[in-house]
Amino acid sequence: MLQHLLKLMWNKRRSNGLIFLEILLAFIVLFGVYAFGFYNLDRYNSPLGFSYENSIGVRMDIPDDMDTLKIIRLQERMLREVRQVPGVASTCFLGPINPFGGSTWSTGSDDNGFHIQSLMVFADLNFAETMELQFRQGRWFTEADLSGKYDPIVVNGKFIDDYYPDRETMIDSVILINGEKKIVGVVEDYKYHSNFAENRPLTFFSEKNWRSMDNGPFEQMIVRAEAGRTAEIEEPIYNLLTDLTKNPDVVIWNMAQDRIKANRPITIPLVILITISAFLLINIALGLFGVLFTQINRRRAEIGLRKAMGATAGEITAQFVGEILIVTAAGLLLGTFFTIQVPLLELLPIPARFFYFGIGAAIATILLIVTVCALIPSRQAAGIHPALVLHEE
Amino acid sequence: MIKNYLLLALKVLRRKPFYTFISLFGISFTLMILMLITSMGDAMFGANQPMTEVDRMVFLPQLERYTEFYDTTYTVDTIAMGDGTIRLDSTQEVAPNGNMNNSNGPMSFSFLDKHMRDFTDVDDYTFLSDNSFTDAYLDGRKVTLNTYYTDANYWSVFDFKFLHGLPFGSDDVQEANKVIVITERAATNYFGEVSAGVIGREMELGQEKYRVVGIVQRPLKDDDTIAGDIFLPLTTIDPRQYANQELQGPFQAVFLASSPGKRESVKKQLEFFATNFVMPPESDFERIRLYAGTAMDKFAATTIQTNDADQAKLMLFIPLFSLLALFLALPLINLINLNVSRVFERKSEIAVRKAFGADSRDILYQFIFENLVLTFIGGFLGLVLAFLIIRYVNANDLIGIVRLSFSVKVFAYFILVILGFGLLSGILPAYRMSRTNIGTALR
Amino acid sequence: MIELTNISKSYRTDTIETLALQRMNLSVPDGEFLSIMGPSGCGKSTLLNIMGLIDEPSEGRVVLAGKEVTDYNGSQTARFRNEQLGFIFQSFHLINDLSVVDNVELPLLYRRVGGKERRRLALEALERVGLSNRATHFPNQLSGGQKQRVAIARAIVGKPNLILADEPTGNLDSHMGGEIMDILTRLNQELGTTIVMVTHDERMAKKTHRLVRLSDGERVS
Repeated sequence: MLQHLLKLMWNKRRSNGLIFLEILLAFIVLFGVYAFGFYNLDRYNSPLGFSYENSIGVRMDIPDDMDTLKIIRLQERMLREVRQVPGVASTCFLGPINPFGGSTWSTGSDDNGFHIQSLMVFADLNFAETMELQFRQGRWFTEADLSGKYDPIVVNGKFIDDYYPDRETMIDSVILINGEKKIVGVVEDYKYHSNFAENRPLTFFSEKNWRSMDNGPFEQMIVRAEAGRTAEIEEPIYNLLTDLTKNPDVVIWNMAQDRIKANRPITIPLVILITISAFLLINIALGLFGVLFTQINRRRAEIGLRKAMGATAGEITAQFVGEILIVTAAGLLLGTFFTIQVPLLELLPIPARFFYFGIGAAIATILLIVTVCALIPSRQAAGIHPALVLHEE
Repeated sequence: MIKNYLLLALKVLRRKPFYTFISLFGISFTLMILMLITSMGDAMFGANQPMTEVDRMVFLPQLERYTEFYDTTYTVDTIAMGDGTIRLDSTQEVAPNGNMNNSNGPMSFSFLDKHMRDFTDVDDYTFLSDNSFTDAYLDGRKVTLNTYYTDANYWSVFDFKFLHGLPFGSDDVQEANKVIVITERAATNYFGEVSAGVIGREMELGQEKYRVVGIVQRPLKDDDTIAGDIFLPLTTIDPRQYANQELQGPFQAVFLASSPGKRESVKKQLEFFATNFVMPPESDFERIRLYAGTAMDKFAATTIQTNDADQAKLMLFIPLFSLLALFLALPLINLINLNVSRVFERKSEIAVRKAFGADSRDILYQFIFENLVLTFIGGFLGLVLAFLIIRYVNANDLIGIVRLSFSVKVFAYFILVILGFGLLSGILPAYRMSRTNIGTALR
Repeated sequence: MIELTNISKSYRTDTIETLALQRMNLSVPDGEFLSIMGPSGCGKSTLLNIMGLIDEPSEGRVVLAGKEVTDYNGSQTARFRNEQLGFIFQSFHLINDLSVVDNVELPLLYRRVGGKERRRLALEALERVGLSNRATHFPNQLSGGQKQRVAIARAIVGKPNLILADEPTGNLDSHMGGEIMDILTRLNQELGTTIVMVTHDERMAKKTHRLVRLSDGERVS
C-alpha cells in the first residue's frame, strides 16, 4: 500500500511541488519560532533572585569637587535621611550597574591557570538587605570585611556551579579575580539584565574596590518602599536629594516598570513573531484545505472506481490522508535536515536542546494541521456513492 | 475590456465565496504586515522631519581613546654554516597583541569646539548633548524629561516642525538665556495643552525657570540626536561640563555634508584628524578613533552593538531580509498553490474562450487582472487593519523606539507593495492557465 | 469554404505513433450542411479540430474561407477563429460563472466590440434560438437542451461563416436533439452558414445535405 502511494505521489510530483515547498518553509518558520520561544520561556522561568516590586532607582550627580571624606559623610547622611522618609523600608548605594539598566561590566581573570569570566556589580554594605538577596552560603560583606587583608567579594550560584562545582564550600577561599579576593558569600541568583537574560557567573565587589579603580563615588541608590507605597516616596526623595546635592539632576525610576522595559527587546519580537506565526498557520491551514478540497474533488471518478472495486470509505479516507502525509513527511524530512544543522554545527550560542524541542514541536504542529485539513475533504469525498460519480462521467 | 475583466473578476469572486475568503484572509493579513513594515521602515529610514536631509548627515556619536599593547618578539635563528661555525640571526618584531585599553564615549564641548569646526564639504553642523534627564514634579505627579543641550545650528541641521513659536537663536546661546523648546508631548505632560498660549510661559526645572519659546512636533523615531523632550541652549548646561577640558564629555556632533556623495569626504576628514591627533601628554591613552557614520551605519552599529558599521550592516540586514523573505514566501506560495489548483476547475472556460477567439495573451491578462482585483480588495482590507494598528501603536507608544508613519508617501509605497504581491502571486497560475490546450480540455 | 488536401495526423508518444488521419481530402462548398459519422476513434474529432484550427495536421494543406491557414501562428488562429468560426460542443461548455447573455457575448468580447452593441447582438442571437427570456439566468439553472441552445447562440453571435458542431445532440434526448437540429437547419437555410457536424445518430445525419463516413482515419464514403 505504501509503495502504491509513493508511486502515486511521485507521478504527481509537479502538482505536489508547491505543497512540499509550503510545508518545508512553514516548518522552518515554526522551528525558529518554537526554538526562540522555548529558549526564552526557559530563561523567563529562571528566577531573578532579587526584589524589585516595590523598589525605585535613583541617580544623582554628586559634585566632583568634594573630597572623599566629605562624600562619604554626604552619602551616609543621604542614607539616613532617605530611611526616615515615611514609607521607605530599606535603601542602599550601588555602582553604575543597576538592575534593568542595560549596562554590562565583565572581567576575565586567570585564577592559577583557570580562566574565570564574570559579570561585575559594585554595591555597598546595605545592598543585600535592600535587594532581599537569597544566600546559598555565607553572608553579604560587612564593615569588618573591608578592613581585612583581602577585599571581600560575593559571587552568585552560577559562578560556583561553573568554576568550582566540586568544592564543598568556597566561603573564605581567596581567588584571583581583579587581584586576590576573598569570597564571603554565595547568593542564589542575581539576573539583573532582565527576565530573559542568561544566568551568568557574577561577582559583587565592594565600594572600596570601586574606589581603588580610580572611580568617583557611587551615584545610584535603590530604595525599597513598604508594599504599596512606592509612588508616594518619589517626590520627597527627589526634593531631599536635590537639596543635598544642590543639583536638580536627580532621576527616579520605578524598578517594576523598568523591568517591563528591560524585557521589551524580547517580549516585543516574541509577541510579534507569535502573532504572525499564528496567522501564517491559519492561512496555511485554510489554503491547504482549499487546495486539498479541489484536488480531492477532482478525483471523484477515481474514488468511484476504487469504491466500485471494493474499497471502503475508511480506506479511501486513509488513502487521501496518507498521500498528503507522504508529501508532508518529505517536506519535514528535508526541513529537519536543514534545521538540525543549527544545533549540530553550533551555529547559535543557545543550548542544543531548544532546537530539538523546536524541531519536535514544529513537526507535531504541521502533522496536526495537515491531518485535519486532509481529513475533512477526504471523509466527505469518501462518502460519495460510486454509481453517482461514474454516472456523472 | 478592462470593465469587462473587472465585472467578470467580481462575479467569479462572488460565486466562490469559500475560495475568496481563504484568499482574502491570506492576502489582507500579509499585506497588513508588509504595510506595517513599510510604515516602520519609512519612519526609521525615510527622509522625514526633522531629518529631511538625512541623506546628507554624518553622525559622530562617540570617540574612542585607546592604547594598544605590543608584544616584542625576539626570534633567534641558529644556522650551521658550511665551515662548521654557527651563525646566529636575530630579528625583533613589534606587533599589536590584540589587547588594548580603551574607553568609548561621547565628547566634551571643548574638544568639539576646538577641533570640529573647520571641515570642507560641510554645509552645516551642530553639537548637542543628549545625556541628561530632568524630573519635574507637578502636584505630586512626576514628569521625566529627556533633556537636550544644543547650539543654535541644531535647528537648521534638523528641520523640526514648529507647531508654535520659534527656535532659540545664537544670541540666546551666547548669552546663556534661560529659554526652552519643548515637544508637544512635554507640553501636554507639563502644561496640559499644546497651544500658542504655552509660548512665553515658564517651566521650572530644579531651581531654575525657563521660558518656553517653541513647541515642536515629536519625531517618529527615537534617534538619540532628536529624541529630546526639552531642548535648552548648550551654554545653560552644568558649567563644569561646559568648561571641561577632557576629551570626553556628554556631547556629540552631527555634520550636514554639502551633498550625499560628500559624506564619504567628511568621514575621511574625521578619520584623518583622528589618526593625526596628538594626545595631551598626561593622558592614559595614546590615540583616538572617531566613529563617524551615516544614519544607516549608526543604526546598524548600535543595533548590533559593534563599531564596525559595514560588518554591522551585513549582520543586521541579511538575517532581517531572509526572515522577511521567509514570512512573505509562505502566504505567497499558499496563494499560488490555491490559484494553481483552481486552474483545473476553469480549464473548460479557458478552452471555450480560446475557441471563440481569445489568444494566450488575453487569457494571461485576464487571470493576472483577476488576481490583481483580489489583491487590491485584500490590500484595502490590509490597509484598514494596518491603519488601525498604526493608530493604536502610536497612541500607546507600544514599540518604544519608533512610532509608525502614515502619509501619502507611505500610501504610495503600499500601492506598489500590493501591485507587486498581486503580480507575483498571479503570474505563475495565469501563465499555466493561458497555456491550456483547447483540444484536450474540450472533450 | 473548406479545402483539406492530403491531411495526415499522427500522435506521437515516447514509444508509439498513432495515426489518426491518413491522407484525407475533403472539400466543403459554401452553404453546405455536412455531417461526419464513424465509430469511436475513427478520427472525426481530430478532423473537426483541424478544421477549427484547434489542432494542426502533421501533413497536408488547410484552406478555410479562401485563406491558406496551415501555417498560422497562435494569435492569427485566435483571430481567425474569432471572426470566421463558431463552435458547438457535445457537453455545451458554457462558463458557469457567467450569465447566459454574458456567455453569448464572449466571442464579441475578443473582437473588441463595445458593451451596448455586444448586448444587442447577444440578445438578438438568443432571440434566434428562442431563449431571450433566459438572458439573465445562469447555465446551471437551464436544462440540457436550453444549454445547447445558448451554446448555439454563442456560436452564431459573431456571424461566422462556418459552424463546427461536435455531436451537438449527443447529450440530449431525441426530442431536444430534434429541436437543436431544427435550429441548425434553419440557420443554414436562412443565413447560409456552412455547418460541419460530427454525429453518431443516423437520423440526425439524414437531415443534412451530405454525409461523410470515416473509419480508421480514412474516408470510406
